[in-house]
Amino acid sequence: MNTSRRPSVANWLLRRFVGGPMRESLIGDIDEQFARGRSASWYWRQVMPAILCGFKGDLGERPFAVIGAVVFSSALAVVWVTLTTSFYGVIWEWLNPSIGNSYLAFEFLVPFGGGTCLLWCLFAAFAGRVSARCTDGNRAVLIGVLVTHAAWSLWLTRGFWLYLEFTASVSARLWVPNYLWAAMCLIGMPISTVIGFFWGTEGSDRGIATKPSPS
Amino acid sequence: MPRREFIGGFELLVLLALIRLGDDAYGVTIADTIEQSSGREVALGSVYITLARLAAKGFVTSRTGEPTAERGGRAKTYFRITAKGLREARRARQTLTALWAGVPQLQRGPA
Repeated sequence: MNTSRRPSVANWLLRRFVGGPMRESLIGDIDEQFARGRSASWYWRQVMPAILCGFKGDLGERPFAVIGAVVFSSALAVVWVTLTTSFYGVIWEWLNPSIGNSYLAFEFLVPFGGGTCLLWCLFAAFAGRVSARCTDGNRAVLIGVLVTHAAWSLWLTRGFWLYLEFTASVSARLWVPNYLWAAMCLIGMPISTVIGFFWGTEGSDRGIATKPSPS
Repeated sequence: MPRREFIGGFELLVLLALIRLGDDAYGVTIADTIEQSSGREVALGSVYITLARLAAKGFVTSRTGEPTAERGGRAKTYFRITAKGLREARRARQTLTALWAGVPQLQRGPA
């Protein structure tokens, strides 16, 4: 009997990201093997195949839900980007006559950039929650939405990463907050998606979809 | 020639483990049987992916067993080979035996 504790991060990943119709049996089997004396590194080695197994199961169960979630997330992202771009345009026009087209004007936009990142994370959490509610916590949907959001946040922050040298040369006061917010957008988006998704799955844990045992 | 499902190497190992284990075949025992025979570690996720594929081909069936405290109250899923699966395992054996026969490199002796 193994009395040591399961690696907490691996345990969290297993319980949160493994889906599919065999979810309960698979996690139960891994726990049983670990209780019989398997090592912590063995437990870690079970995580990725288990997540992959759950992903395949969930994808096979609801392939159109995964496609729908990816399309829905992308459509929301397009709307969001269009709205924030217009918003930036209005602010820029409003600032320009008073302080001119200068770095100072650009610096005024920096706090708006931070605010946009925060709102972007809130949007990601919302999209994650809606996806979870509509698909009964299908983990393949989560992974689909996660990849979509990661791609969108990379696209949105491309200016920061592509013109890294230029932005750094403009002003030291600018690049620190800029990169901080760009990084926040990149890291915050997927985290917000995951938080929103699990918020949406609360109270609806998925069961085993196999035939009941004959009594 | 009629079209039929072929089974892969790991699928065959899982089928053979199911035949050996009979009514006691679930994730842990299947993985243990394969590990003891092959001497290689087997990920439970890989076993379940293979079982799902075999079930889709109609080679195995499953039923839910009893939950135990050791498993955190989670029920086991027992698997059993079907008649179709058994036929496929026999066919695979015939195919392998036919390919094995008459090849000097595969006879006993140093590699």
